Amino acid sequence: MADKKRPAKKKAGKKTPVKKKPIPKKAAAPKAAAAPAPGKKLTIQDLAQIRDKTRALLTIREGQGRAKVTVHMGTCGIAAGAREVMDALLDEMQKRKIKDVVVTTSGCVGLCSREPMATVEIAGEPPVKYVDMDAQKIRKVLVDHVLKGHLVKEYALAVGNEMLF
Amino acid sequence: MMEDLSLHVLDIAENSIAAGATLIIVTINESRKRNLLTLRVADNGRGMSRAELRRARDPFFTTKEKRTGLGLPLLAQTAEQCGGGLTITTRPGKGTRVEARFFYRHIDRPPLTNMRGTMMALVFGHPEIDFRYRHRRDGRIFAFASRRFIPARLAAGGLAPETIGRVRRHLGAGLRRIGTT
Repeated sequence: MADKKRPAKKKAGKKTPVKKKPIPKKAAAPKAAAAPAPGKKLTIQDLAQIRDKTRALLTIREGQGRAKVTVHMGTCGIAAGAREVMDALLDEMQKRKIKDVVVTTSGCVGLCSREPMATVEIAGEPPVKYVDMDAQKIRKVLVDHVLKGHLVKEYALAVGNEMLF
Repeated sequence: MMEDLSLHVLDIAENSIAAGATLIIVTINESRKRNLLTLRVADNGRGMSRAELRRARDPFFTTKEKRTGLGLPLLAQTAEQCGGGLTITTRPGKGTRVEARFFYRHIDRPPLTNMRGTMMALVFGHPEIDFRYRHRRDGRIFAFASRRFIPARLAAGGLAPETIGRVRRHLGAGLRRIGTT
């Protein structure tokens, strides 16, 4: 756990404005925070901000980002074009500088005729399965569903979990 | 059907991922002089038992709860049609190595096409896995290691989006340098 916390602190340090740089160090050692740096007092709001940032980073690191997109890459999916779907997804993630979405691949889910497929899981919501994906459709799913929270009905197959084949 | 051999590489490497590998080594060797193309995917996953290995080329055998397992049989078929073949070496608990060989200039040999796309899908689909990729083409070599771009401590998430572009450019430039994509 201590090992995991260390990089998070560094990141939080990087993201806070320059004048707040010493804050994360203190957040790690609450006793030290009681004695503020000269000329700068640590407010409750500052602490809350640090806590939120660190927590966000930690959840992503533990593989529980705000959302997870799974591109199904069984032999069927690959033959149907899952690699192009993955490529478009990565491209869009990079362009929009998305940090809190986890992308992964998995196997065939037994619906080979509707490949390429992708599953979108948003924290606290049931997973949604999208079928007959292509580069353009996955971009739309990422923007509309993952970023804006509107399920893309016309591409969705069903809502719920599947058995992995 | 798989249109190109880089899709087969992706498919076989996905098997390695399913086998719980933490290290996957992709090796491609193109030798026009020897008229030979070999693809190899080696992993440290759970490996196959003797019974599983015996049936690995059977399209109606799979370790999963479905009726077909087409990945390896399709690659074996393609390789054999091109005057080559497929070799699977495996040890339970140690890992598996799949090697496919083709006559480079065989009329039926599919093109390799898009190794960059294949490696991108693997590396960013599973940043927790240590991917090594070595591509030799007529004496020119391109070598890639995912850990150079994605340190293990960041692999479970928290990747900077810029990393995607960096890896894509690195793969593109390296493969262009040895005369492929």
